[in-house]
Amino acid sequence: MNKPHPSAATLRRIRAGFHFLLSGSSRLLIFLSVTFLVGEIVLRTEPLRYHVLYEYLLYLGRLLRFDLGANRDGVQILFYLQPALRNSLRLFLVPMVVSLGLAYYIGSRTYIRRSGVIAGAVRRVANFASAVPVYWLALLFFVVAVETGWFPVGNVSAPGADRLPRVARSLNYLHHLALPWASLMLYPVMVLSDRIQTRLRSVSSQNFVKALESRGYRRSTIVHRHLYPVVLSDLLHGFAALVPMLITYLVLVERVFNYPGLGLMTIGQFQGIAPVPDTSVSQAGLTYLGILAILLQTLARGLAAMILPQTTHDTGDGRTKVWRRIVLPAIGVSALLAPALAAAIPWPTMQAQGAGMIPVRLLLLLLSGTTFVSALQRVRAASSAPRLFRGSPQQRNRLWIPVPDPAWIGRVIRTHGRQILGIALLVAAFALLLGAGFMIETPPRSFANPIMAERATGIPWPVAYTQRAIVASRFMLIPLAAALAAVVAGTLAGSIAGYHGLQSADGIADIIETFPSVTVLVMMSAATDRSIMGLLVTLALIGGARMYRRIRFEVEQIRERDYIRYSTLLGSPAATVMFRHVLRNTAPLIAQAGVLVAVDLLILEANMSFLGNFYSLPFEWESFIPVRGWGLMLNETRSLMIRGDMAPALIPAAFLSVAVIIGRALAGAVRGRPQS
Amino acid sequence: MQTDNGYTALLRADHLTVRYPARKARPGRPSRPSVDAVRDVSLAVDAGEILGVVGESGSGKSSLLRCLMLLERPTAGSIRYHGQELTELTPVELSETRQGMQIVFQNPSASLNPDMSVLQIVSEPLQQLRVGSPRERSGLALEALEKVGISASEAHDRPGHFSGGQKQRIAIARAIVVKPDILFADEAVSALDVTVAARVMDLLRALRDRMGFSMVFVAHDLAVVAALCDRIAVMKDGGLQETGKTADILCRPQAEYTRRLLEAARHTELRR
Repeated sequence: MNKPHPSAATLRRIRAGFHFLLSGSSRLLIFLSVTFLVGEIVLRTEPLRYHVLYEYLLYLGRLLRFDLGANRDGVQILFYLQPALRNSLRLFLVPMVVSLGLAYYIGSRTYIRRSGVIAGAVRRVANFASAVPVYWLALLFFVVAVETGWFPVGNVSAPGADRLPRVARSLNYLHHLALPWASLMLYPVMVLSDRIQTRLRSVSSQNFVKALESRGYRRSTIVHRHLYPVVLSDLLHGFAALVPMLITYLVLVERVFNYPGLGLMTIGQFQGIAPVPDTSVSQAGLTYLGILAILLQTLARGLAAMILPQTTHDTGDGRTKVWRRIVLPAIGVSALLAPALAAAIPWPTMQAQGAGMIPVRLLLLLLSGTTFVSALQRVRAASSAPRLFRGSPQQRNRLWIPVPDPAWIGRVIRTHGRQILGIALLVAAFALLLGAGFMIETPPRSFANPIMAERATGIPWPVAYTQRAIVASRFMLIPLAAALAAVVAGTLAGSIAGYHGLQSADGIADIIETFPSVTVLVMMSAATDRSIMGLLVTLALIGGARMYRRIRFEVEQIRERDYIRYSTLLGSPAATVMFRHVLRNTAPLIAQAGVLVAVDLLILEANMSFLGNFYSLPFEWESFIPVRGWGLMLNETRSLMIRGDMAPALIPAAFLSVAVIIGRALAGAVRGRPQS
Repeated sequence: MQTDNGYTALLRADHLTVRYPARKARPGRPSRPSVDAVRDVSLAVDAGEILGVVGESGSGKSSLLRCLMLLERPTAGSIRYHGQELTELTPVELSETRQGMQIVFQNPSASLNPDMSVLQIVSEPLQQLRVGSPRERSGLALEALEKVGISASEAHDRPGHFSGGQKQRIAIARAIVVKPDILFADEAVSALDVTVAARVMDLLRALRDRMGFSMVFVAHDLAVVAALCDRIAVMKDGGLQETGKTADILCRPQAEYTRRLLEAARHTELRR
């Protein structure tokens, strides 16, 4: 057998990396299209009537040369954008690099030492770090900075720092950025450390590691020489998945510290707190946040593909994927080549507002084109897959509903009593938290305003605040309703796609998950005129995409099992197989993923509320759900915390954290499948 | 349509070929040339007969078995079951025709739904074929379980409760509950240890004697096949090397590959 030339492996790595570069570029282009489409809807400027193609190409060409046009005062948007982008990168990239280094150290050491105590501690802190709202931590740091005066807040450097010598200037930056960096680092460090040690531990159970250990290799040698090459690709994919969340945190931290970055600039435009409110600027800000997320993800995934090319994108079914093989690379290549072409053509500089130049119809054409290709693929796949409802009407009506027998239930209770009790207690705790809000009388409208609440009730401020925080638990109904919709839609789409091997919905889930949720929510808030239905739909979309991915993967695994083959052999219709075998075995995962999605949406809603009042409730809802949730309450507390009144910030943060921790524990408890 | 024994064949395959098309290289996936998993195979299974298919890994045994049940479409050739050409049937006709065919898989753990009770698992084919009332189905399932040595008191347990050998017995009970004409066993004892495998083989032979079904028994171990089967088909690289009665294959092998296989089996037996 001929041994492959060493350069062949290198070539394969380069090809795998390039593939991801192309796919990342195409995502970028889709993101730009969607952003500008929404921007156009928001601005509702004069629609284009003539020379649509020419206008579109003109706009794209300018955009690719970083010419975002001018704002309504005739000032170039880049004038605002460049310093904000520089500041954001400074705030974001340094903690990310440090986090990766720290996570690598903590994760590796925890595994090498084999200490269950340390591993448990890392896991608990990681759970805590993901449960505590990042902006609350930032708020605490902010208060420490203001109270002690040790750390400056609200800027990148001291006035006149540019004139200082290089070392002094760097120290000045460090002084200003220390607390925002610390706020941003806790979550990625702990989550990545936990992921690293878990991955190392799972691989270390394989026989090749035991063989190495028996030969007397040191554990650190095994980890660095044999385990990391196996797990690194996976970890990079994990990091890529974290990026949108980290960008969201960047925006939150900028808001807390009044840090003049991209996030503050963008949110400020929407909230009307910016010195020069301008929708073109905010649109450009959102675009750049999205671009930052996509580029980082593409970089991480490309690296992962180059490290372990054989594990990526191997669908193994041998069918030609029009989307993956032609359309995505074509879009990617054009996106890669376009800046060079754009630079070579002498486009006239934009004079009008950037977003106003967008030919909406062409963008719609582009989107419908990709949808058309996707639909074609779906038809092709469906023609070779078994139909969902096959057979006679009698057969369709004979879908089998499983009824557990009492003997089995008794045995399950005996063997899994503790697990069931734990689930019951956690559900009761969550119900208590939610129900507590309804035990207090419906709040008057004046309750929304803390000062008016104090005047109206005559109750001292912190006490009124506790009541408000309890009532605010009713606000959880909004993310919970969205989570319910997400679970139903995600499970349905995921199980159908997984069972039939369809990949059409992957692209949609990919796009939703790639963008930082805060940008998606802000865009939708602007596009739907702060409608609560917009929030619900967006949350459901975000949660549905997460749910879809998890369920689809699980169903894909299950459909390969022999009992599914056997059932198919018996001639069972696909729907019967789905209900009888697939969904039944996916139930624990659906429960777990559903609870996790609900928790994620709870945090997401609180993040959005913290950034500002992006959604308004219909008047008739206000008697049932308070105007302000915990996130918005925390937003109000900054001025109080500076005055030394910590209680108002502690109460809603504690409520939110408790809800999240209960949710996470519940997700862990429902994971195990009770068996006799 | 007669077998080597001169009887009418229950299942007959003529010039069967299964070709997997070539696959081009893609990022993260090497190219693969076109492969003939099964190449021009002709064989027949008589009623009540056990045909063993033996060969090394990758010789095309499992592909042949899947093809015989039409779980995989042959690229060329014909399959006749009770004289009916399977490749020409519509999906509905095929699912009706396949009711007489049952399969036992290699991995007993993966072939039983972990979330169903044993009784539900064994009742599933009856339910699918709409046999009797739920009570009657339970009765038939319990009877089948009893035949394979699983007591009624264990019928409400999940598969996780049982050992590998017991799980395979449950899979056999599920297969025989519909009284099949032919049973396909795809490496059915390969995942079991020697003593358990011997007991499962004894069970299969006893069931065949009692119920009279035919069996296609696929295995890579010649000794296992020799102990159970009436006839043996030896496969290599997708092609049939030799077919004959078990005694003839063991005592007077014609093909060079069969002789090497026998030599290896004797060597392994001696080392044991």
